[in-house]
Amino acid sequence: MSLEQVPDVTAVSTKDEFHVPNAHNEPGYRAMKQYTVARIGVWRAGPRYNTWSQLHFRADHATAQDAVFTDVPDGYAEENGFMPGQSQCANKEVYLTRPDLGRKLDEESKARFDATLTKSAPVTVVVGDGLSTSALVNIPKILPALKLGLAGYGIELGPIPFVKYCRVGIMDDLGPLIDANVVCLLVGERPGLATGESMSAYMAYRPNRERPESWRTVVSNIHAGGTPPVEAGAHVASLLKRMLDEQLSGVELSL
Amino acid sequence: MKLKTTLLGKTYGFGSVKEVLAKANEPKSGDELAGVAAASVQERVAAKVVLANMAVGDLRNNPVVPYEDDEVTRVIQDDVDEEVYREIANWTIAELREYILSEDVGTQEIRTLGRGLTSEVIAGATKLMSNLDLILGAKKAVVTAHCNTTVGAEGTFATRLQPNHPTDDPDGVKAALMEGLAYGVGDAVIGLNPVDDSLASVARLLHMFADFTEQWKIPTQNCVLAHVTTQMEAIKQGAPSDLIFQSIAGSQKGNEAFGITGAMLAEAQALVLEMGTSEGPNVMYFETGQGSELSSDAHCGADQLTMEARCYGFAKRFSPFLVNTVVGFIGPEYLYDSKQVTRAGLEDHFMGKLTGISMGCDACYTNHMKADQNDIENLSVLLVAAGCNYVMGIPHGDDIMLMYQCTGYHEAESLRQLFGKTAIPEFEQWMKDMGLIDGQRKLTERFGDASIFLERSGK
Amino acid sequence: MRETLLSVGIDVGTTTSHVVFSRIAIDDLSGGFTVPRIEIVGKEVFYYGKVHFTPLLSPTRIDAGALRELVATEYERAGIRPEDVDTGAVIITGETARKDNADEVLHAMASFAGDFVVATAGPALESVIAARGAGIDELSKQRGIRAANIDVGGGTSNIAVFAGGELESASCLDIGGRLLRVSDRSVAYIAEKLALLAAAEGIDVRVGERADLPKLKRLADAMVRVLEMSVGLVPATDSYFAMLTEPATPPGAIQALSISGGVADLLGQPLGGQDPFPFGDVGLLLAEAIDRSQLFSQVERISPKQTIRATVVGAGMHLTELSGSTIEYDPTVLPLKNLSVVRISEAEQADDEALIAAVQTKLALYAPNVAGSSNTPGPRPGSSPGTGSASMPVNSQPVAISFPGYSNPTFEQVQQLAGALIAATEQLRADGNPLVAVVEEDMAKALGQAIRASLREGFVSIDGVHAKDGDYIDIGKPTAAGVLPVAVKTLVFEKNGEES
Repeated sequence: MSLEQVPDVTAVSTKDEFHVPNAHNEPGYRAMKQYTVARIGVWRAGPRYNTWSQLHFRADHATAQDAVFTDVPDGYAEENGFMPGQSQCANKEVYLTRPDLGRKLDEESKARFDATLTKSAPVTVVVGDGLSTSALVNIPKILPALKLGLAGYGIELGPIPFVKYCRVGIMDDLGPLIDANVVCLLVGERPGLATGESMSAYMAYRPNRERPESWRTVVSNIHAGGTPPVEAGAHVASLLKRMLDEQLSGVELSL
Repeated sequence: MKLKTTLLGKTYGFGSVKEVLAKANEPKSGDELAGVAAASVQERVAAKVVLANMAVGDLRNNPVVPYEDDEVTRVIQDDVDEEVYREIANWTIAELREYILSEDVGTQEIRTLGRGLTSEVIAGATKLMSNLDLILGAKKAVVTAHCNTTVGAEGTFATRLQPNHPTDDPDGVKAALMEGLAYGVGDAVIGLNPVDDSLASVARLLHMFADFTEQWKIPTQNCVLAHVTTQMEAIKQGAPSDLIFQSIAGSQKGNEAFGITGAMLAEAQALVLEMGTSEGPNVMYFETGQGSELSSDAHCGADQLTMEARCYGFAKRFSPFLVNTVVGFIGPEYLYDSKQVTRAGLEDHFMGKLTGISMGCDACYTNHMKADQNDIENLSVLLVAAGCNYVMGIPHGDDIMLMYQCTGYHEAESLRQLFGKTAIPEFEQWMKDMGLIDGQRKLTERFGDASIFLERSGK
Repeated sequence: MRETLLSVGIDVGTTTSHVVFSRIAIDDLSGGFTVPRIEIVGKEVFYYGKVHFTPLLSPTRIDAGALRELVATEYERAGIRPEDVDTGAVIITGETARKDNADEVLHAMASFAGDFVVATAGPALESVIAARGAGIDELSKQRGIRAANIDVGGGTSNIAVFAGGELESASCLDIGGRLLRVSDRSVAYIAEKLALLAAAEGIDVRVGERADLPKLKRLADAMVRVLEMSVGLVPATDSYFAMLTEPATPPGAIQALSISGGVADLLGQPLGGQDPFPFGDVGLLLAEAIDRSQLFSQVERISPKQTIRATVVGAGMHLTELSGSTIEYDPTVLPLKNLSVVRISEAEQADDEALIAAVQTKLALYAPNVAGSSNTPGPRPGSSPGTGSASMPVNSQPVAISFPGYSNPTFEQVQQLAGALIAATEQLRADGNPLVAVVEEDMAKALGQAIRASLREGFVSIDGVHAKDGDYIDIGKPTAAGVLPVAVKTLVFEKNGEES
């Protein structure tokens, strides 16, 4: 054993990871891998997986699981200047098994949001943990870009609420409470393998419980390896502006 | 009909057959979400005791959704073989369970029995079975089906090649297709879940699959799993599809949420028999999964296992080539952890086989579930032990489009070797012709090398 | 969502000229749940014009009037008006690109052909365009192999090599069917460089002498040997380097080859007893020499999708690309044609001072071009410039500033870049030019909004496009989906040619 480090098995992207010895056409194989992030060209040990591709897979699954099962640290909202709040889920276990409770604000949060958030604002941005706590890493990038974009259209944002154990339907609970015009929820997505940090922006014009899901517009796959959060913030700003102008959202919003 | 029992000094009463069925179910988070689960472990056992004493006729006569209200119920009830049913109507569910497990009962007897059972009866028997019971029972229920090749024959174990891609990029799909074929995957079907349900995209992918299987003379079936209406339109315009796929539910309301009716499926079946590219007679492919009815608020107050059994009763009407439960895809609010997923996978496979359909399983999990690849490997071993017709094969178990994990390309050959099985015979021969395996069925250096499909003509 | 762009391709070659019209379909492939992803989803030629002889006034001048007439006729026949054309390219190729009025004709044709029709020339670009028209890039991608196309025309042979669908190298040789002409069984003309090749090979050919078939066959063999060198089949000798129009290194071994161009149509016709000079040149001899050569015996022979029309189809269908889908711009400044590219390196983009200095230095470097010396996409060295005029102030040459950007930028990085770009373009903008930012990584919308916060107008910020120093770029008007058609015209292809 030496002091040198063992190489990081996740350092090589799945597009470039290649283990097939004596491939019939290695350059062609490698070129073909560029069209997909599927784990191909991984070779085998007997009929089973190659050790390195298997460890890479395990590392990626670990990323996804940690994103889901880690709680947002106490004080996250206060430290980031957000108004703290929580859904009716008491803990992660309830959150995962009771999506209905994740769509409703608890009484304390309701009272706080009612007292502190801007009423009838043109745009209200909400931050939520959703199914990935790790996705909150995008907030410091997406939020200023979103604010600058909105400022360019003459729209100022009021205080931003944060909701712990948050499902997308929380928008329908919050919207009517503060008479919001357009609500934009930045929330962690259900992680794919190795995309633990992926975030979505859900947007709706005057959301409420009676609106169908198709009333929401979504921009998903926001993370370092997908749509960069800064760019997504700029794009979301232009969508929010259109929703305000057209007083529509979701599938009815002209594309 | 008795709806009450005393267990360990406490009396448990139930309001209806539907309630007994729900409370007798093994624990599932979806039943708790629906508010139909037993409140305690003891109540669950009490419900099983009451269920064991019920007659087959009690369950047939009390479908969980009324005949008048629901097309699925009507299809199930109308398709019962009354002659078989009359013989067993007075059996208790306990007797039914023991008949299935009896040494004297083999494949032929199980096949006959299945014709006289409604889905509620099958669900009832399942709730009395342990995991090993389910494996043993299903093993006897051999069901084969023929499209271009025959799936389900004893001694064979097949796989669906699922070359999904986040943007349906034909080059990316083809890369995953080639990789899977190099691992001997795809004898049940080459089936893609498309992102884009448009006619043009579906037709383009069907042509790509057909051209590839034609070029390499691959004996299998192809399918693009778009909505049934899109596939029908594609076939009408000449797209080469061997099968028509659709997700189905255990209630009419659930099917409405999928935008389908029985008539629509019958029309699709007739169309593909006439204009599809396959031999038949089995040309339909269905997917199901416990919890899907609840997710569209179409469970009608019933538990998710019973609703799942009803999917199979409905599917049987259309003589499908393939049906698989996508167990574990829907999330922890329906199946919480690996234990629940394993149980559900074995239940679904058993119920499908007893119903008489060609049953496979997508053994899978999402990342917000307490499960991992080891759990899915365990389940796949149990499924092959139970005689499961096919499982999925995807690159390294990682579906980059549906964002879940299931059985990988490598599992197919591992399981075949473990159980001494082969691929579907024609496909097995193709693997030999391609030099993937040698005469002794040993893997060659070409096995697992997708680049054998590049440069066929040589330099 | 799906929309169609009408594209024209016009090729003015050494011997012949062509016009094709095609449709380019674009669509949003995002599925609606992510940011848009507008891409080209289909291309199809729907009108092939006739093969015309390129009209010349003299050995050194193109007959611009006659050329315009023949192009106008093709528009009429196709039922297309120039204002219907969304995009496309005019390319002047081979020896015609060296005529005195080539540049003038090129730009006149481009303005006539449509509002956003790009003017292109340059031997290496021509090679790539012909190879795309022949379909060799696609074949190389599909089969994962290294494959080449040689477009053998009247004046030049253009070589492009692709590996796994990616361009590896492009070069051009002074080898073509009309470089030696025969009239009344006598040698009427021999191009200077071909005469040098003949001399080097010990073949004595002179103008005025009787056309000696065995001797000319030997010369054709010598020409083809150089072609073999150009695709790495035999080791390169001095003859190869001498025949190159611009310096290049021979590529590694290829696995498949296609031959396009006018000479391709003469392949597979044994000479037999027929007239060996049916076109009054050595085209047929050259084709026959190719048939006999190692070009096809050593590697797999591929039938090109296009032969004589490879270049025009390549120009019409394969030059236009689309910008990224999330971008920001002031539509009133579009279209922008023939912008010189100022490339900012990764190190420079992160540092205000360095970025500003780099832009200033490179603008000064381009100043001689404006005065009319070299290196525009139109003409070859020695002819007049493609854009601007000598009387304009130096800084008035419109430019596009190209840089890598960041794969996942911070907000501060975007702000810093916007500030530096605004500062670096102060004089340019004062002269009435827009700020044009061309970035590779997906960040142009954020960058554009940051620029808009200060400038409000007169800017374009696009991404998904790579351009380097020496390139020229054209940016079209927005499509219905809001993306911009872009053509990057590269004059020099170097295998490891990323910016210094």
